[in-house]
Amino acid sequence: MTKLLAKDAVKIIQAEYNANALEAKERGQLVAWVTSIAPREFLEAMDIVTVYPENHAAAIAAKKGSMEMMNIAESMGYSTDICSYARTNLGYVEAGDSAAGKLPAPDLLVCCNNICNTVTKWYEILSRRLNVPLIMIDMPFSHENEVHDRAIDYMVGQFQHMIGQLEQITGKPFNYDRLHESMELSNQASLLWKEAADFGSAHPCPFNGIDFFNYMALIVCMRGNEKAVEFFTLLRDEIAEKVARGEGYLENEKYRILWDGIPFWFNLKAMFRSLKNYDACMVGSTYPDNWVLPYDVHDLRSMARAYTSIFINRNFDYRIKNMTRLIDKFDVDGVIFHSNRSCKAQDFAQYAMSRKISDITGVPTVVVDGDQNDPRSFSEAQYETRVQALYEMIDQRRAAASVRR
Amino acid sequence: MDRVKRILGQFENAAHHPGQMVREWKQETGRKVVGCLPVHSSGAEELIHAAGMLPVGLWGGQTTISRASEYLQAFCCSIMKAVMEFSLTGVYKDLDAYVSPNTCDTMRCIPLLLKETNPEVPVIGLVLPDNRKINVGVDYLAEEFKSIGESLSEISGQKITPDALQNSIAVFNQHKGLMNHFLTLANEHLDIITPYYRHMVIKSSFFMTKEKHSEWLSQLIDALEKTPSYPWSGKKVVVTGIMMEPDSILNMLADYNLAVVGDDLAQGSRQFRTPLPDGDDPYVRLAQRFADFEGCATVHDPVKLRGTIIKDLVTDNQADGVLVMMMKFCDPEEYDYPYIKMDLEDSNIPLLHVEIEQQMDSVEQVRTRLQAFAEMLRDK
Ligand code: SF4
Ligand code: SF4
Repeated sequence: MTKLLAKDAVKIIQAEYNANALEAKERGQLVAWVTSIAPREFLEAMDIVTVYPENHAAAIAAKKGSMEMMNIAESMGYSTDICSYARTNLGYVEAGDSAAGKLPAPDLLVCCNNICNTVTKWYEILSRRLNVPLIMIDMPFSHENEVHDRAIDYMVGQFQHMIGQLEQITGKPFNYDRLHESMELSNQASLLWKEAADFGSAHPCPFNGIDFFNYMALIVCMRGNEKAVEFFTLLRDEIAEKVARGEGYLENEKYRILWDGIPFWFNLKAMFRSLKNYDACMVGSTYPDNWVLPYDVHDLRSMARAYTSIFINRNFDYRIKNMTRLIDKFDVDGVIFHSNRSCKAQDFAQYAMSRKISDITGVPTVVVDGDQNDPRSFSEAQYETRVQALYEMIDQRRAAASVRR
Repeated sequence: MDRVKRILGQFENAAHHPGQMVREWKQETGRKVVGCLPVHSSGAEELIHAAGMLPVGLWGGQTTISRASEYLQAFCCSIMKAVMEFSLTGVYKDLDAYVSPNTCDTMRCIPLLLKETNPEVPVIGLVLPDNRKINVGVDYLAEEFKSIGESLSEISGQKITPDALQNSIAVFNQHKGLMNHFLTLANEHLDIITPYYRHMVIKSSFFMTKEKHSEWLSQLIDALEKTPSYPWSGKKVVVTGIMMEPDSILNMLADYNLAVVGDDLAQGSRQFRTPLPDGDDPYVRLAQRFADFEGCATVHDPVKLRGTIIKDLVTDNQADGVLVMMMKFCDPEEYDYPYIKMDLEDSNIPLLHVEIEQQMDSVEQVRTRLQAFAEMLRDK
């Protein structure tokens, strides 16, 4: 039997996951709707099926169905200014079906605001609309360079509170053994994920970084489960073999690009073309890095620290350091910042970041306008022009460097 | 009547000249000033007071956005565009520090930008909890306030003692009480306390000491109590949203015989409708107030009580309708709107949704809609 390639395996596993979730619901298993970087280990421990409105919304957009869903939400009075994931999902709740199929209805909601304040508002609405309990996990934003102990105390207190809520909802005592197992597996998956992504530093880069946005679905929904460990081992090994063979994604890799933000799910092709046609390779991205969540598996404090320490929940210094580190590690030639109309939590730091990153590293940067799910906020022609400008800047920088030499 | 007008003039003057108010205070006292960003800097304000400094509200203002566009995309709310413009053009040069609460996604970025563009002025982040009602949330916030208090003490050079903080809480509680008293009384004098003056009285409180503002409020209350109440024959509305500016919109309400008899504005009653509870530990009192507070789009509420709060305001003040002053690009408010609409419609309360920005090129569209709304209420 020939071994399955990761890019095919991910599709099969995701389809299975979705089908299983729907079946489990029918069998009477509890289902939670969960935000993308919530500590899902607690739910895994209680055999609660987790599904992800953000992933579902992205899948709907990839299948060209987001406009239909957003139209429904907008007709209810939701402004076109709010996050297009939220609009897609709130529309889906009314429609009950979508281009990417159904999500099993939730018995509970689990919202972790380490990614943004938007999810807090979005899940409040879901809780009222669907009349199901909302477990809120609040992860304080860090203004200082270090996460404060008081914030960790508060998060651990919330974990304990959540354990009580879960016991009440499921009517079962909390399964600490299974939690530790899941914490262990989560760490393994996260480490494999990192190892795989880190191969982006190889010359030539062995993969097309856009693929990581597809793999991401699994680190989101299966982190803490055996299946994720299996898949990410497959992925890591596959990439490692390519690196060992010196095989690159492109034959003539000319530009190594770092991407900041979520892709345009409704038009991944545009991203793909704007890179490949110019022999440019996306070697890394700030976004998948969010799921590198290493912690001490027997310590809830360490877990709280890992989940709250993702870069969007951190101050400017940290974000700058994080990006300069990535630029250095992946030997990046240029950075594309996606000014994603939906995601204000990131957007309003981007202009300043793009300038500062250029100043510090000398690497050219561009900010491109778009949205993750709303095609109305994206112009392919304009996008293409900006990306071309980036390539020109890289060429000029290289020319200048060779003159100096 | 003349006395009322004279006092209102004082409030109006203060509301229009925040810079001057700040400079005067600095000259008189030689002490420092801390800018407080919206929405809930409450708690930090008491600490600033206890450290012997003046808390000043930074709610944007009228300006032309130019330099701020180097930092903020077009789809940022107008308040924060104005804040960045002021910061970049030196309007905030008299501020010695900022307090920046975690109001919304936009406010995750603003403190980073303030620090980046003005590195010499400290920006103190205030991270209010979402799980504010459970014990760990209250404990966390009390600790957060303690830490902020320490930073503020360093800036002012004056240590915050528990007694000083208890005293500051008393000053703020008294002020809250007077504000609520004034607003109740204002409804009997809707001829003088027009929407514009109502706003002036509230707005001025962001730029001066609570002691002085309380003194003026007491004078105003006294003067209003001596004035015969006015039988208002126009229509009455409750307003909800972040704020009600520019002033031209306030004057429009008067043009169409609409009085504001209650508000659920972030820059209005949300600041003072919840008193600080009693208690021995002043930091816990500050935290507990935030736990007790209800009904702001920027404060976590899974039950979504805001519609009910607005309905109660309508009933209690016999209002005829509700104006939703929707700050353009304000996510939290935009998320709340559909349920507010549904809750009010379920109770047959007429509402008008008006999109506003602090820097509006033209308010004529708002005028047309307000006029139509006023007519609709009249014909009902
Ligand atoms: S896209 Fe941004 S605003 Fe929307 S849910 Fe994700 S992090 Fe939050
Ligand atoms: S988005 Fe809304 S809540 Fe946030 S700063 Fe702007 S007006 Fe205030």
